[in-house]
Amino acid sequence: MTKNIVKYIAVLAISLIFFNNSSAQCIDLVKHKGFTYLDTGKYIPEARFNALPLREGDDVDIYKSFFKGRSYRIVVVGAENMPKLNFKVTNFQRHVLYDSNKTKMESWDFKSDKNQNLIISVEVPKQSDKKKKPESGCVAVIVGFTFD
Amino acid sequence: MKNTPFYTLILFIGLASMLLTNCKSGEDANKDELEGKTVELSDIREEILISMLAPSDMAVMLIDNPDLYFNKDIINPTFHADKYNTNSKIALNIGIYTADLSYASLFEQEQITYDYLDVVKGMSEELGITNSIEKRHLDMIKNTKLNKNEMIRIINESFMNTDAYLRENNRSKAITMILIGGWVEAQHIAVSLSKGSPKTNAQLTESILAQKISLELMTKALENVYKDETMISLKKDINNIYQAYILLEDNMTDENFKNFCDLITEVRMNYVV
Repeated sequence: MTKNIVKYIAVLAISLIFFNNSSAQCIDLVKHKGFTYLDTGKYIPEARFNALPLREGDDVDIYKSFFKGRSYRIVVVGAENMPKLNFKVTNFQRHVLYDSNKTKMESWDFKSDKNQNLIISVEVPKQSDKKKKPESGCVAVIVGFTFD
Repeated sequence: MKNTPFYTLILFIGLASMLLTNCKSGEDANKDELEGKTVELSDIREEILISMLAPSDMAVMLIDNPDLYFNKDIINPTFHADKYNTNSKIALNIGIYTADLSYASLFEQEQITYDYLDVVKGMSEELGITNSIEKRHLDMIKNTKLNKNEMIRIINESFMNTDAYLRENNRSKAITMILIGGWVEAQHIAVSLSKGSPKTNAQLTESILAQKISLELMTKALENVYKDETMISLKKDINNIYQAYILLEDNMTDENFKNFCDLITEVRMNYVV
């Protein structure tokens, strides 16, 4: 009985350490890989932290406001072990404004022609090799704007 | 029983690591009424994140306007910080001070930006967030001549640290309150600069009206709030402002605009007292 309790708490403690470490990796992903793709010399990163741990097959929708006349860059990056991510930008009627499947790019530059709420949908594709254990890691969406 | 020493060793290492991590982050769990629940990694399959505007981004979208000016009299004085003695008031006013210092930075007011950032740092620490504002950033603002772009970059990176910390510790209530405080303060600054008239500055009026979309996201984010009294009260404020927007959209008169401005000022007053 004592052995089982100790075993359970040990596994729980290790899980919590893993959770904390994966979270810390998310901010590093944003500030290093994310900011590099954003080009912080040109685009000012918005202040919200849009990153979370995901696994192959997972997806996330991010709802965000964009304002008329502003130039934006949207960057989507994943941890090194993750497969190449797909992302789409749609309006709330799911009309597609951008699809990375077509461009194979990690970022999209655009000037908003109106004040609008858009959805950035990120998908972590499943690897074709079903024998391999699914990868998991951080996924981050970074939005930058210019002052022009 | 022969494996018990092995698991005990793992347990010891695990708990010691957790203890060290928590000591480093300065978290005070007993003090934190805004602490959330832990979400298991395995539960995450299809997530929706409602990315409401941060106070600094809100200030840029509203107040970055060549015809506007800096007026210290309309922001929340730093000496008020000492009177915020509940976590809810602290969270709301972290948002308010962040909007204020963003306004100051847009007009390159280095000393005011520094003073307010220092206050936000202290208040964040009271909520257990210790590493959000780095000393090197405070030093840069104090000792280097920075332009508004550089200052906003520093402010945004600092806010992102706070956001990441609260997100990762599942303290969604705290971050939501900070965002609401920041939204209301940025609007308060804008409506104060408009002097309650839509004709004072057409671009500013347009920016104020444009924020209806960011309020829509906030409304969406608050949809499931129905138990917590503080959050219900904030939700009511946000809904009232949203109704005022709808009225403005239907009938944009000087009187309706003035009423909208008065509502923002009234809501903000309740947060800063």
